[in-house]
Amino acid sequence: MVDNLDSILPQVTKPARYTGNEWNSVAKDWSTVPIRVALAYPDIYEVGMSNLGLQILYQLVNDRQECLAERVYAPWVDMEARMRENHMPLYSLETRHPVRDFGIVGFTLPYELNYTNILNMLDLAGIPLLAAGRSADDPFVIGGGTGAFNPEPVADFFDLIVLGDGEDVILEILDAYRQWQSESGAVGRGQAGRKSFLMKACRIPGIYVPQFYDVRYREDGTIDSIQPNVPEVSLPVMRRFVDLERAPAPVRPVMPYVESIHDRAMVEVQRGCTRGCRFCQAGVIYRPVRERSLSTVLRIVDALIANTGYEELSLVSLSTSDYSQIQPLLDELVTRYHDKGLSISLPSLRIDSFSVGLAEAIQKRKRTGFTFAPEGGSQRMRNIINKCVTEEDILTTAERAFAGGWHRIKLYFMIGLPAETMEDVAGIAALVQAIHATGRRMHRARAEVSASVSTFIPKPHTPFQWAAQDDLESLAEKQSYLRRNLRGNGLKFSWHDPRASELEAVLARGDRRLAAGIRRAWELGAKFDAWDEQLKPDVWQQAFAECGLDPGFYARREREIDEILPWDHLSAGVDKKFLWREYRRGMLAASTPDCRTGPCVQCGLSELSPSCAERRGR
Amino acid sequence: MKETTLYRYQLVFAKGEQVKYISHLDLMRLLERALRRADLPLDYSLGFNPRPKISIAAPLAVGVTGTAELMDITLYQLVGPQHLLERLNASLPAGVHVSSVTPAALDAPSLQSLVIAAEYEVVVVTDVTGKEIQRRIDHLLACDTLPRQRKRAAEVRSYDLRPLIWELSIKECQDGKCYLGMCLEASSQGAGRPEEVVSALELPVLPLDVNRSSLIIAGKAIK
Ligand code: SF4
Repeated sequence: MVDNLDSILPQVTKPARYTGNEWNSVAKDWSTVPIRVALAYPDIYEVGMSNLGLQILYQLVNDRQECLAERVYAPWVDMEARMRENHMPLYSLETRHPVRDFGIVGFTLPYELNYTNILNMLDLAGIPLLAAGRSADDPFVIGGGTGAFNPEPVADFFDLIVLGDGEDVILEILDAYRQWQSESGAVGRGQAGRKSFLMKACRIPGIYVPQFYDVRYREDGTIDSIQPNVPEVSLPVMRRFVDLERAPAPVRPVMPYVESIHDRAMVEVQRGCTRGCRFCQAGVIYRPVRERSLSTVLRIVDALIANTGYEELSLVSLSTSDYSQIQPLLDELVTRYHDKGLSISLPSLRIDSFSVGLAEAIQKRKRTGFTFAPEGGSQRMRNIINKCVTEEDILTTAERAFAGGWHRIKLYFMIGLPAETMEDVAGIAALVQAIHATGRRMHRARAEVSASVSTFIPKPHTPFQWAAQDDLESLAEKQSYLRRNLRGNGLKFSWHDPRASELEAVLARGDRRLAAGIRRAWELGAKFDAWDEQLKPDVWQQAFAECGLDPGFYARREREIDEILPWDHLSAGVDKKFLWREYRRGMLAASTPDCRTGPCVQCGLSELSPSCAERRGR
Repeated sequence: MKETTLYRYQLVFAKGEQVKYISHLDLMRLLERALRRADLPLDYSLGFNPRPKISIAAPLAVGVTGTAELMDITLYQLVGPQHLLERLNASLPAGVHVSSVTPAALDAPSLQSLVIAAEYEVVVVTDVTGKEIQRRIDHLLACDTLPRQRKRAAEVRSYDLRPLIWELSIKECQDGKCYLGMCLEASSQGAGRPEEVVSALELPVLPLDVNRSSLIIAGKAIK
């Protein structure tokens, strides 16, 4: 157990990130619990503690008597330096056991720019980086989360990957692990023993064991084939899927002492979104929409508030105004909690007056910032990306928000989208200016409009998975246009470093050959690549060059319809043909309706989702 | 505005090993949420973000434990002190524990304004002998002034440590460890920091085990 923390913690920033002991954390006695899981998040504590998925798994595993789950986050650079100086291994927060002593280490794969942190954490833990290099004493390293849908660039580092909702499958993995433990005895499992667990695990639906598949490449660099090398595995691996209404909710979340990004109670009111924005990965991999009933949500909220004492509650979903029970839910929450000083937040609101009305109902006093995401600046672009709002919708919503007392509006846009022209970019500036003018009419100098403009990154399993990313020069030109045209009092413009976006694009659609480049970049000092001040573009450039990898091949190449994509053996349940159809429709600026309100658009999910199958049957 | 009778309570509590690295603001948030979990009739401040009224006598530095810290809370209903103590303790995480609750007058002066000094127990890991340390203490206490500098972010501030030291003595010295007792000023005039005293004695400040054992309020020590 790690016990010399007192000699290093006084030297690091926010030492309480590393001490655990938070309310609702669970520390079990190791001598009586045979199945030990470390839940790892490849970013700092404050980011990782805000992850709802990890809280769900934490509770599920700890609720089982014979299992325990403990947490571990990436130490910030100052802490890492002290740990290395003192030969301190990466340890878990609950009981301060070295991560290496756990049977299973489960990483959340939140997004691509965390990959080097995964390597860094494995290294700090003293776990061999390559799955193939691990021995009987090493833990099984498993991954899950959004990034699992193309884990290929980091596939070599993982023993297994979980696709889709984790609630059921985590318990099935633990069962398989327990069975394997009892069969193989406590000692002397060897390489063959490791493999025997993976053979068991790969039979569980939704489990992908990378080493059981071989990838062959063509001379032009594209993939020739992805084939299983053992008969037991499935092709493709189909994502797991739960009925949210019946899924357990984390009602005893661990509460950080250090203020984290989302330091509030979170209740997931629905999972999935079928609005069909063509750039959006979440909109595909969490399909279709699954709601929790009003009574279930209220039951969860009551337990959450009693167990945490949080002063703020967030209603989580990809599009909260689409939750069918949103109005009655808010009414009831206000009735129940009005006197207790509970504030409610609604992330991801739709662009319409209804949403402004919802926000008004919960923000009786403080009305500072109102946020929404038109994503595209011109009507043509919004049609291309299938963000079905008109300019009029946007302007009316903004006007309504200003009239409701908000004087600050925050807007999210993207540049570098497929088929984008300077006119579309100019549309962003024009729209922001128009909204600002409205604001000034009502609030004069107090009106503030900020535009956060990110760079589009083509993601796997989306209609735009075939598209090329915009090149750096063109992005620079577009950003500079916006900088020039979004200047002035009450206007704010923020953007992303295009080099970080390029790296993200390379990693997002990468194949297994990238593993060498990621490892080399990490060796050269890359980590916390998602943090602007930590990103080292030259290190990545050098690493890719040394490994003979061409970033342009991954980021800026439009793929053909018949190309085998690196993630083709991993299925979100949505048809590749549907995605292609959507891509083509996008290029024609044709919109596709939301299947929740309109007809089924045959995305292919009816195989997986009983509610879709039922709809189709009718 | 609603007219209600308010009730103020003074609580003595400990901030132990498990939570010694959390900051003062973190501790405030922790207490606020524990009070909410305990479902006590809290009086909330008015304003944009209603906050329960909690005040802490003197913030404790990060890394330092405290065995008899003081806080004030205000409720809008009368609650028996014993009941309050039990409810709150059941809602507090390991490391934070309330040892006594006493009703206080609503118009009593704020805790912050009452504290004048604090007593500390400090454990230094060192090979320096007790005799030598005693010599250094005697020398230090004999000085009229002890000019020192304190870095805060980019800013360096000079101050005199000597008048902030009320008492300083060795409690015990053995096995490479020296147990010091000190009483340092903690008022609006200035607050002495135990590690500054240790460093003025030319003893290592890492690792350092510091516990604030009591706060001194106008001549009376709270333990
Ligand atoms: S199968 Fe049809 S109803 Fe189900 S998510 Fe896909 S488009 Fe919507």
